[in-house]
Amino acid sequence: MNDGWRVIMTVVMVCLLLGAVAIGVGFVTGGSMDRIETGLETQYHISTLIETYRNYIPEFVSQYLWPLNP
Amino acid sequence: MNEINKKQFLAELGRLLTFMSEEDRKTALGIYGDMFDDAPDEQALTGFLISPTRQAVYMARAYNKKPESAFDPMKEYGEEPEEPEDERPGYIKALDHARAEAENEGIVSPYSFAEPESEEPLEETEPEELQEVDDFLLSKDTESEETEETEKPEESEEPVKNEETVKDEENDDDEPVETGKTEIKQDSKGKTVKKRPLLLILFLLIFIPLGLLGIVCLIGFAAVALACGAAACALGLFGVRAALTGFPIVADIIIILGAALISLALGLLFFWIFIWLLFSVIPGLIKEIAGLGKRWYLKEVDA
Repeated sequence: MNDGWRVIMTVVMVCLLLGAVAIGVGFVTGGSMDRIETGLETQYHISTLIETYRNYIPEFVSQYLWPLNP
Repeated sequence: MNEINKKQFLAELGRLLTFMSEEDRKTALGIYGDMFDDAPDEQALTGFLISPTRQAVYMARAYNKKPESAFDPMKEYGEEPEEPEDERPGYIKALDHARAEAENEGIVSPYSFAEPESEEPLEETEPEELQEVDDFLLSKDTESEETEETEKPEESEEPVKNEETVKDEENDDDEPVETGKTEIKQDSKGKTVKKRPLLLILFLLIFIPLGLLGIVCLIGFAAVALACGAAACALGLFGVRAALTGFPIVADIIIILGAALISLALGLLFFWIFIWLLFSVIPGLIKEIAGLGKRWYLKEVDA
């Protein structure tokens, strides 16, 4: 199990580092969050999805988890 | 016991030496067999050895001691050790010294390098007798030092009388020693343990509910980790798909792929936490609770 932790943490750290580098490179080379949001909204209606989950989470908590923590 | 012959002696002794490993048992029986082969008068040797039970106790004392411990077969016969640096097993040293004593008394002729006759079929001993011997071995291990000290001079002077003493102790100490609500017994590994049923009941009342609560909490954490891992992985895969299908600008694609990679990494971490909780932490908790219960219930005591 210790070897598993070592391997998993290595993979995770490498992936996090690569992801951070990729985001940094994207912003340096002209990437724009507004353009990304617009593209996601156009293709996947991302704001509607986020709004749906935002409403669903409190409902889920009140329905399933609230009795455990009144 | 004066009428016992070599075959009977070795057969009974072989049955009594079950606490030894098979190899050690054969070695010990071989040495005893050599002593009988080299003894002009078999009955004199059986008188010297007293009884198979006595020799089993002698072997048990020598066998249970660690090599660096204070056991010394010379001391059993009231002599000072000649070779303190000897690293042979304790029971071998004990047997060699017993043979040397027998040779000194003229019971056994000097060593003839004959092959041991340990291959003879061993006669069965009654289970009741074995139980008596087990109880006797336990009682011998738990005896006080004073009792041992009073025995030693008699062993070297009047061996036949010692057999009667041993038999009396067998009859007196059949039952395990009970001290209040606790019970002292000898387990399969030869260690003396004290059973404490009250502590076991207390343990069951306290740690079983707490342990179950802890296990339920850990299962809850594992479920949360699984959900988080699944959500993070789904988000990462969604980001990869979105980046590769709907964005014309490379910089935007790189940003989305970077975010997706971070999300996948977190998902992998949550999945691993789920596996770790389920297959390592929860079994470890159960094992620790069981071990704690065993430690509360059974306590090893010095022999």
